[in-house]
Amino acid sequence: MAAPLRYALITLCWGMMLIIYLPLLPAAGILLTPAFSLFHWQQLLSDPQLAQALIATLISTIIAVSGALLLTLLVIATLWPSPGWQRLASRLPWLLALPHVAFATCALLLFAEGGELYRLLPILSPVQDSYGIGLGLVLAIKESGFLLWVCWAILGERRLAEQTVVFKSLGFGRGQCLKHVILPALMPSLSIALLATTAWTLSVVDVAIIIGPGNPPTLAVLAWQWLNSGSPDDQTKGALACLLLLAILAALAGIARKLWCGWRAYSAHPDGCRKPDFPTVPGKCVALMLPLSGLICTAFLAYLAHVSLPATNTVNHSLWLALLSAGLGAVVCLMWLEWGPVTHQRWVDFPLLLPALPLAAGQYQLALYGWFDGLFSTVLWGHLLWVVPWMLFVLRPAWRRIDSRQVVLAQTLGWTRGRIFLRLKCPLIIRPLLSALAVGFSVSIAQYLPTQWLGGGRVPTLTTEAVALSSGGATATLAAQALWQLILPMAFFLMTALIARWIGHLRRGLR
Amino acid sequence: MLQVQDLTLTLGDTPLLRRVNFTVQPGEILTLMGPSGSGKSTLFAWMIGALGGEFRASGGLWLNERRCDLLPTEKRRIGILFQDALLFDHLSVGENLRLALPVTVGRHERQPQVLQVLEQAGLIDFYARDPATLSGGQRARVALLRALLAQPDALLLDEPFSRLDQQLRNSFRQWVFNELQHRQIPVVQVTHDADDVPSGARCLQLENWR
Repeated sequence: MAAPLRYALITLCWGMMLIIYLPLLPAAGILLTPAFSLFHWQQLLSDPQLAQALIATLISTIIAVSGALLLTLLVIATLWPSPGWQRLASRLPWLLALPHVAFATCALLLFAEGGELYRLLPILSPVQDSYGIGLGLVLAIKESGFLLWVCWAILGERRLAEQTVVFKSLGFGRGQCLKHVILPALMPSLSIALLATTAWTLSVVDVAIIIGPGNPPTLAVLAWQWLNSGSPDDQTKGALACLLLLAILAALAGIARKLWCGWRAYSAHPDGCRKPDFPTVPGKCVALMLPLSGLICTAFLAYLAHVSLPATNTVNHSLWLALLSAGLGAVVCLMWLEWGPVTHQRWVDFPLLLPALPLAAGQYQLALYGWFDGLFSTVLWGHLLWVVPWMLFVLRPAWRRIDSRQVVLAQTLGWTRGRIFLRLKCPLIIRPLLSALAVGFSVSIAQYLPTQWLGGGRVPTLTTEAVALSSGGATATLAAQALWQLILPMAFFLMTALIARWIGHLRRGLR
Repeated sequence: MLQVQDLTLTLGDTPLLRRVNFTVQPGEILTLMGPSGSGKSTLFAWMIGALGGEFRASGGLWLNERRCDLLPTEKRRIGILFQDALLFDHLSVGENLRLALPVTVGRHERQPQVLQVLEQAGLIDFYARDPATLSGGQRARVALLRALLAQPDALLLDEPFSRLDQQLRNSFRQWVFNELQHRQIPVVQVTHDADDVPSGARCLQLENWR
């Protein structure tokens, strides 16, 4: 490839990333400006809702993250590596494709006061959940699907499977194998996924509005309410609450790291005790129930929705936003992988590791300054801040696995860099690219904060409508919104899976 | 005694091995030979209890009059040595070996015992070494020591010499057979190299069962 064209592509690539990631700067400004004023902190700390909101946030986050991790490890210890693990992997999209809001809506319509469970069994009465326990449990189930998916990619390594066989041949059981072989291999990659899950759970607003505690709500919802308020004092409190969420994330990550290091030091020298017996029934039940919960949720929402349909414009907005952001995201990601820097790109993952609230607030501030809030294209730009890092998260490992010898071989054939990119690298990662498109699509469908803020109510989507209806809409309409919010990504997942299967059938080496 | 009885392995509808029968006495090294794709590693995967879901197996595996093929890997008491040494990378060489010692070895005896076997294997001062810094031959020796320290009732060798260069291969092969001579356990090795067969030992061709 001619040098000027290469430089033009590198510039274009950096330009696109700059436009997408620009809100990080105002987000930092929003967070840091009030942080140095003692008065503002006193104002926040004297708020009567803060303590309870903080407790609910901590409890729901700890339940969600530790619950998801426990479920994931239980399933891995029981099933990996076995045909059952492969079956679970093929069924996991049933849960993964399910948006959080649809899952939470299903839980709301089932367990909340006036929900189906209490209509069927009036003897039961819903308990007051002011600590966010229900929110934590729902997120634990949903996030376990994500963690299993992350682990599935890592556990595909043949060497690790053989190490497990060797370890078991020494007489150690499944639980010990998890502790001494699988966890040390998994943890470096899994820790990033756990951090992303913790960050997301701490700052989740849409799901917390639907099934979280009401008054006071979680800290993220409280921050969102304050940031939405017209009062400058409340907005400052909102910014400080976001900073507090960030501090909690850092503290939880620090504690988890200490616990992990301590546990590793404690268990580094196994005493040789063999515990070959490991109860497999709980793990098998969880492995069966996790994908099934996605199907049950779909069936339940379809039953409640009956013949209700969501407004056409919300479906259209959701569909086009998701299609365009997944398509644009794929282009940006592929260009970034080919023409972006090889090292120092951790900052690209910031939107996954930071609470979403300040980032969405940063986007909103930019949109206000530029007078482009309320536009469809602005919402699309807003979605890309989360779609791009998620797609990169899927694509990066596959891109790194491309055998560099094949590239050298292509170069010896006289191929240019552009030709190698288009004719060699892109076809080699076609299946991960399809997965990334499906992930990008469902990430866009699930976006609430950027859609709500940047759209200003003029770009309603299935997610924003479902959240709005959850506080008092008709059950059938709410169920219909949630159902369609679920159908779109599921159909897209199915389509990409079928294409991937067809490609795998044609070219076995791409499986 | 290790006994494989009437084993038939199929991949989908395609039979890989038919009616495999052999017995290995304690102290004996049986070599199974066959070219690539003859089902050597699949046979071992079945014997160790790690057969892939795409395969079907019928037949029995008996070890010291105990049926093993229905047991999970961890309960079979069969050790295995792969082509790749598969040392646990997050543990030092010494920790890899300590891990394998039975629980009957007391807490204070574990390190001295590991140091002793390392010395016998010509790997003195290797206790704290990172496995990634070892040569191919050293890794292979540590892997065999690890398998033997667990005191298995039988041992499977899956082409353990194939990744070593010719000179190292001869000396390592001799060292392995010497080590195994001291243990009165049945050993099965699969290989496609006739040089790997110990002198005077039995050798069976896998192709006879296809």
